[in-house]
Amino acid sequence: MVTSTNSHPRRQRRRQFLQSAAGAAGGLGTVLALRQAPALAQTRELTFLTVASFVPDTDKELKRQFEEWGKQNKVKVRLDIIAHLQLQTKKAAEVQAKSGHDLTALGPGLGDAALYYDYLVDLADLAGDVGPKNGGWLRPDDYLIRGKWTLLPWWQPPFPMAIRTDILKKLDETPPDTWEDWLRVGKKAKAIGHPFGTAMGHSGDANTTLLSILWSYGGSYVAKDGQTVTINSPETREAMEFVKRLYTEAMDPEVLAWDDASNNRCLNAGKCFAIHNPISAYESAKKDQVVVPGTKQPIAEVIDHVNTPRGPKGRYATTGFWCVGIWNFSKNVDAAKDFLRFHFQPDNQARWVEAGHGFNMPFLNNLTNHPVYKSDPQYRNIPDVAKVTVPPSWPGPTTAASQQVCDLYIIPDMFAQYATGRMTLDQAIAWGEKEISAIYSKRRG
Amino acid sequence: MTLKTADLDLAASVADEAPLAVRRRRPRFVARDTRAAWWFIAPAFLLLAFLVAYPFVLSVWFSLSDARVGTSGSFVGLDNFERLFSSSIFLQTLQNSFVFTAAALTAKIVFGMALALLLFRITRFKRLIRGAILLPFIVPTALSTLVWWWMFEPMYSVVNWTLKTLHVVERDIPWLPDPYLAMVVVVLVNVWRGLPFFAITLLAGLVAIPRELYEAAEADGAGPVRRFWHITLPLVTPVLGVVILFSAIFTLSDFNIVYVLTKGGPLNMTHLFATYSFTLGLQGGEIGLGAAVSLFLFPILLAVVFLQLRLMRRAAIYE
Repeated sequence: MVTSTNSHPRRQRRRQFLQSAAGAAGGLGTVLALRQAPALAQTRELTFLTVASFVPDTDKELKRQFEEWGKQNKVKVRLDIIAHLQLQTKKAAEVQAKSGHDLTALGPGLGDAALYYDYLVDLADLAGDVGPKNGGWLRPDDYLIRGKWTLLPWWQPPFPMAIRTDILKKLDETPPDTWEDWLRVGKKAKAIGHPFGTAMGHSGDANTTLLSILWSYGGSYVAKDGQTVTINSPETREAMEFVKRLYTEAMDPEVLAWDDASNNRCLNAGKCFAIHNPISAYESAKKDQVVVPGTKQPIAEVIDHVNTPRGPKGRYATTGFWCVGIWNFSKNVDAAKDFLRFHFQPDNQARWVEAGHGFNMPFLNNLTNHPVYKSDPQYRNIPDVAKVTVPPSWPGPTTAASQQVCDLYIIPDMFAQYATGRMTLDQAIAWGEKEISAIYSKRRG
Repeated sequence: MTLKTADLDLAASVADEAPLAVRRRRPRFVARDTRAAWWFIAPAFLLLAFLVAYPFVLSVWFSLSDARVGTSGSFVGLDNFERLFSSSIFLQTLQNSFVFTAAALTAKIVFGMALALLLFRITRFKRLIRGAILLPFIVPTALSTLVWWWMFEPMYSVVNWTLKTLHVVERDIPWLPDPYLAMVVVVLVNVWRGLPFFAITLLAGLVAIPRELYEAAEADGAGPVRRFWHITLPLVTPVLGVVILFSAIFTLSDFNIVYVLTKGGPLNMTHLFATYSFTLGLQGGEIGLGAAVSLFLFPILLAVVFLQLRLMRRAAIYE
């Protein structure tokens, strides 16, 4: 028989409950006040926020390296991979809360470094270590934001021209080299149902290709001083006249609504004759074993990549400059720097580039000569494209204003306003100049 | 049978009519009740204060400041609003927002009423059909809009494929690349999503109308059109007012549909306040300017709410 010695069981239970609750609340209050986990729960953890690559093996290799470093240093690691379109809001939320991951991917573009300048750790020591070990940085002056290394340029997907060789053969042509030549061949290709494809709407690819054309014709939207707006120039007019002809004579109107994946789909569906794009379309065609419509021929076998086109004033290209940085509100700055030092070791970089099939080209000289670029004739021009790749703000420095010009798609809209006939040439340029000037006049730095 | 308008604020009139003696006899009881009431209201009040009032006050502050991501910024008065008025993209956004809201609301009122009348008359599989009608409202917007995007996608639009297969058109219709058609598509998707809300709520209003009124009208020789204009419409007006009020707010502040379908393009012709505010505030880090864009909605919505509530207080009754 079980007897209770407790004469006030209910009161006791209630008292015990109240004591436990008060204890728990007090403990929680202390933890919140100190903003530090109790000793028992304190396991060192390094967190890294990055974007999903178009070539998923890249992310697997990064995860492997991160875990290997964690094991070596007895640090728990967590790699969070999100879609690249989610990165903007995620970064903004972390900065606003001054809490979140230790390491973060930044981009596309170097603008994040200007935008979050006050919240990023100076990585000059790291850049100084990493560069010489890898044959130096490609264009180090471009990566300095207000004279500081607030980020490490991480990888870029260079923009060659992907072309269908079977269609080219049908047209009895050789791969074009200049923008004008692309228009000439593009017209012929469109006539047989295979238009040229480049985005002209609100997408990153539209910014990339139209800026490449603008520079190749000698135009720019901001001067080297980063303040003078230079969009209203005879060179811009020439570039816009060219794009109008390219749009009306060699492309379909659908490009106005294309997103960053549309040109890949257009090429792999057998519709587009050529697209200005990284090698991701080819990689997915190979992986998914896509065939030329109506045949059993794998489409990857009739895709070739040639250099980004040349204009009257030279050959220029840009791309998404993906970078990596460390938040200054991180409690693991030293560990984060140590991991970056590990990841940027030449052998780790080489493995990582190999996993990405060269899609993720680092901004380091030695890596442009990685064997992967010789492993497949498709990649032979990629290092050349990387050498003429400049930041989107070129020739001006990267600033919050230059980033906003891209974010608001001012350049694609300006080109499209004229190409579609919604505005005259003068009106479209005046519109672009007004919008860009308004951004630059309000956003210094 | 006479039509009158009545003040529905019954609580006030009941309080006014309470006998003085009763009021005097219950002070302690009332005081105890009041204290308890405060405790009951407190959670909701705190929730409103933290989740509604605080963000609202903060966004007002942001709109009057040069706040960037991570900084609270300094006071700049109406500078952000001045900047917006000098931006052609904002003026285009303003125009788009009114066109989008007016077109979507009109379509939802007309088709919502028609659907409600239809549902009212359906007797077989009534519950199943009414449940199915609600589906577009239940499915997460981002998900359903992705399906719409696939249907109007520039290259492989299933709508174009169907139209071409049926020989209705010979060439693809540029649904999303054409600035005007893109607006038609975003309005269409908004109407598709909002229609169930209109239909089901109006149906509730229709069910509440006493049948005797229709019987009396029929006995007086009124046809279906006259019965609709003189009985259905006046009696369903308060419900319609509430539905329009809510829908106007949700439509004017729509984000998902435009963001998934067009990202504000082509040529900024589908940007709405929410998408433009997102672009400036979160993508560009200009929190102050972004807040000014979203706050631009506030006086407009305030005017809409004020007008709607005034109209709704005048309810139609038959005696």
